[in-house]
Amino acid sequence: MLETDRLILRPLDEKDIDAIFAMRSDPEVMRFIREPQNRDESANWVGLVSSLWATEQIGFCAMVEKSLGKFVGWCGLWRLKETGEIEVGYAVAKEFWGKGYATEAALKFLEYAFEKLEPEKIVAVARPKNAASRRVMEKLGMDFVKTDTFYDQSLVQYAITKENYARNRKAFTA
Amino acid sequence: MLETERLLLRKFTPEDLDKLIETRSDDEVIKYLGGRTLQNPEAIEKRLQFYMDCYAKFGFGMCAMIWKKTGEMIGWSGLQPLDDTSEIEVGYGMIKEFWGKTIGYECAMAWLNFGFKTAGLERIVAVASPENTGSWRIMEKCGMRYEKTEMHYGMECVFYAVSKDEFTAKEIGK
Repeated sequence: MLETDRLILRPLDEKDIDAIFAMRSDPEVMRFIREPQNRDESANWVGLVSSLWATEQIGFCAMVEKSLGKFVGWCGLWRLKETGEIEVGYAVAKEFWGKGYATEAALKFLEYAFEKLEPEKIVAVARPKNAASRRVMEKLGMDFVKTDTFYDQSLVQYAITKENYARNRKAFTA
Repeated sequence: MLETERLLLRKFTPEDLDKLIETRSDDEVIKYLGGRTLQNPEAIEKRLQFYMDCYAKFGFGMCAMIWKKTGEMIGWSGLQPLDDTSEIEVGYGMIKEFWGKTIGYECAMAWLNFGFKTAGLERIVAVASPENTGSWRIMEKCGMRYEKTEMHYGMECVFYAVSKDEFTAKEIGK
């Protein structure tokens, strides 16, 4: 479990299926991710993104607002199907948009990933028109790399190297 | 650790890393093994360490599959804990040139024998992607029964199992 100023980040499990389904069935939340899903598909997705903690130490967490005790979205790490690079991913329920939660959680996952998994870099992908997600990547200190096919669709890829991450961190804490 | 008619199944050593990466570099070979999400040099290096840790902890683990005739490492096979479940799974995989020679069956039977008769296990399971018909036919041929479909290794898997009693009963009946 990870913690930030405003959020608890804990691995998703079955009790989150209702909250995840509420997000994954919402066409506005899913607009730049994929087609909205039904409850079974949402439950399957929770199982999928929880299945690699034990062997690979990666997966998705619930973002829970500490002072409200509310589920605000998901955030976590995966490895890109096409390249195996570690990626950070996130989504926020509509009522919590625009408050910086995705950036706050994703920054924590960058820290976790660079410390525990020691990759050379961490990437993120999004649909080209997903301006909010791209803005998060920029705030994380990531740079645009390319537009390419990931997960069978055309996505923009951003990345941050461990050197740049260390430099940014130093600047933040200085 | 084990020898079959055509194969030597010996413990991995750190020197096997490059060869293991090579055997898992073909897109078709890793198609049912989680793609690059699981099969990338970084993750394979960690996985190799996990295999070696298993030998000390359990007395068995995933082993290198050596083709006796040439001495070449052609794949991997062995027993290991499944994710964070308390189950022990049997696993096998090999480079494409050796597909269709019932090598998977030869290994799986050797490991089931070893698991029940030498290691004292009461139950052994196996998982595979539902599309990986080659693998689940092997499980059935070994006398394993389908129990459920659930998420493991970042994908939906069919889950097969056999108990010690079922396995020995089948052997006596032969």
